[in-house]
Amino acid sequence: MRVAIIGAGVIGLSSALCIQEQFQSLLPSLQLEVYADHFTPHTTSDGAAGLWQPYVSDHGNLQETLWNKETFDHLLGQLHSPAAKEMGLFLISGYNLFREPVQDPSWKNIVLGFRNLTPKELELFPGYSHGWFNTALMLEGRSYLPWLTNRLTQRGVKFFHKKVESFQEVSGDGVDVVLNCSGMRSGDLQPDPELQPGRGQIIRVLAPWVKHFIITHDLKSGIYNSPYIIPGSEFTVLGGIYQHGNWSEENSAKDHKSIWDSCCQLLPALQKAKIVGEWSGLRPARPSVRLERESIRLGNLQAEVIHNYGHGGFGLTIHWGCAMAAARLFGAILQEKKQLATPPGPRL
Amino acid sequence: MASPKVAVVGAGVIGLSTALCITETCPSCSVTVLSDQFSPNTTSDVAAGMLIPHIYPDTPIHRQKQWFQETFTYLFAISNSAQASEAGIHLVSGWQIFKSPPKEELPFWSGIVLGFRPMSEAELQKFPQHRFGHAFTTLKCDCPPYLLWLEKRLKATGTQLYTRKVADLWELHREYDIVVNCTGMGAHQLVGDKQLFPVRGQVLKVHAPWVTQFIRDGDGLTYIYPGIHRVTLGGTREKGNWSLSPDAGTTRDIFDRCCSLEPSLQGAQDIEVKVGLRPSRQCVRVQREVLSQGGIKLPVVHNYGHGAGGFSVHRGTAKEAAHLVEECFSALQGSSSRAKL
Repeated sequence: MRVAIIGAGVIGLSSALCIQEQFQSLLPSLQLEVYADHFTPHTTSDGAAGLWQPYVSDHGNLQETLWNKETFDHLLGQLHSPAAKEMGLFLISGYNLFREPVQDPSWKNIVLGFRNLTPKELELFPGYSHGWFNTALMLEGRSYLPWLTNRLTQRGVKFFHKKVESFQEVSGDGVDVVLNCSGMRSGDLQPDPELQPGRGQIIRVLAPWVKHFIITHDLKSGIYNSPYIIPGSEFTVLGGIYQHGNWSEENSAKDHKSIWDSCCQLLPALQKAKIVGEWSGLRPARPSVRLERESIRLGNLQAEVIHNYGHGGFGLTIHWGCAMAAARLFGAILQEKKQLATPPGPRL
Repeated sequence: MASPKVAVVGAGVIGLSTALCITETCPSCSVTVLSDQFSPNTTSDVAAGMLIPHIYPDTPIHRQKQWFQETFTYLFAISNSAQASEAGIHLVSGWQIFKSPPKEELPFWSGIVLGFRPMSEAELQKFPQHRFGHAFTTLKCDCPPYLLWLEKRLKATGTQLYTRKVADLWELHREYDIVVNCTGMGAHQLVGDKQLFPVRGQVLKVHAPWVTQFIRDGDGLTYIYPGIHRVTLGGTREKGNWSLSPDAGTTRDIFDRCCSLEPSLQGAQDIEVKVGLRPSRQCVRVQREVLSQGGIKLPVVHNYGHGAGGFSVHRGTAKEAAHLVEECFSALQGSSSRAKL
């Protein structure tokens, strides 16, 4: 049985791994194939800083909160394993800053040590009157994607460097299930007006004295439109851009200035930091993640498509929960095709 | 006496910060720093520079608290300024963990560091052998950057810094009016202080940039302190051991102990081993003295014996020493005006 996964960002690779881990031994004929036009280090996941943190408000989407928790708990469990360094996984603490009082976030009990900031701490951030401190995780795409790729390759998953233009292209010819993990470009495979780019731009600097993430919030201008500073293992990411509907992947001088000025105001010592790179990417934004099955008629064949896209600016944060959910959908498909007596995997 | 000449002996964190305080409180003083070693070869360069106080048994707690508060406030302001990276001062968060609950529920400094609170159950799961802990955010002074920054500030005030081995404080009496003794472990020989003893510390400085959190075992023996470029892994507390040579068995032991708290350290690179002798004393000696020989007097201000807590209290003791220098200056002016009569 052949399964085609379209997309090799964190969603595509982790979904492939979940399915491989859960079903390969039960279904020896299972052959997974990953198709993508971009592989690490050129995917959206590679550009992201890699901080595990959902948006401040979950808009009542409990399912996504559960997937976030599943991801955090899974990663926390990997923290002491020898693979952690190779995965780009490590603990990090930091600050979320607000200019007004806000409700505690849905993830306050998922992260470690969540608390409000003390007045002394707020002295560090003039202009901000409230905030949170917590310990979370970093999962750097530049390390995590190669790690996933190695695991998949070791287990016989095949990779194809190809821009897939339609589901027909990969289905048929023995491919029974297609996983659509194409992120921003899902609209090319099947129109989805709800999927829109949330353009971001970041500046990469050398500032190794910064040991905390600092994320500011301006509730009027919306998520990520306020400066943020996220230290990584090789460089520190400065950001604060979210432009809904902007498809440009070119770095903008205006955005550069906005990021630089606002981050230096937040942390004056950044003025001395050396700039080592700049990047623009498109967050595949959607009111909610599309994670569902669809049967697609292609000629006289029927293909099962599992959609797993629209993770906006929280792909790394939510990826494992979604991968497990995609694997459950896959299990249901196998059951229907009478490939399996009962779906495997832990009873959740 | 228009411009008293002050010699500060010692160029570790105590000597340099004391010299700087003197230039601040006594602008008319001409300050010179004399030391046989400068950064990166001082005891301070071996230390991680974490602001977590060491308790001195014979110094009143309120005085230790004041020293720590002053030091923390001073460095907090620098960490928040454009100079933070040059000065090597940065905030770092983490945990102090205990296998059995500590005697004191709240250390005297809990209100001075940031966000001090008990660790949650979820956080303690990371340390299965430990049952209790504190989480907080404090400051770290990275060396050499901090010492080099102090040297730069001193030079900007016109302070001269000379490499010179001072064998006897008295040899300075012709060139200087007041001598400040910040010689750390050197005071054992220099002023014959038998209450001063070394507590040998061996540390590893490694490349592990994914370690962002500090971890310190409450017994003070095992610690992981992430700095700007390197993580300091420790350590040992060997009372009375004068050896400055790294010990291979100790290196292995420190590495193993730290890896058991933070397994990802197995992937650490570029391991550098360093040894320092903590200049330890039951109480820090911040004190005036007047040496006299054949009718000639030499005022001396001592500021040494900070043991494991040099960075934590350096600014506080430096200010106190600078006040004592002022007192020496006033006394000299008084006696010189008497001499004129």
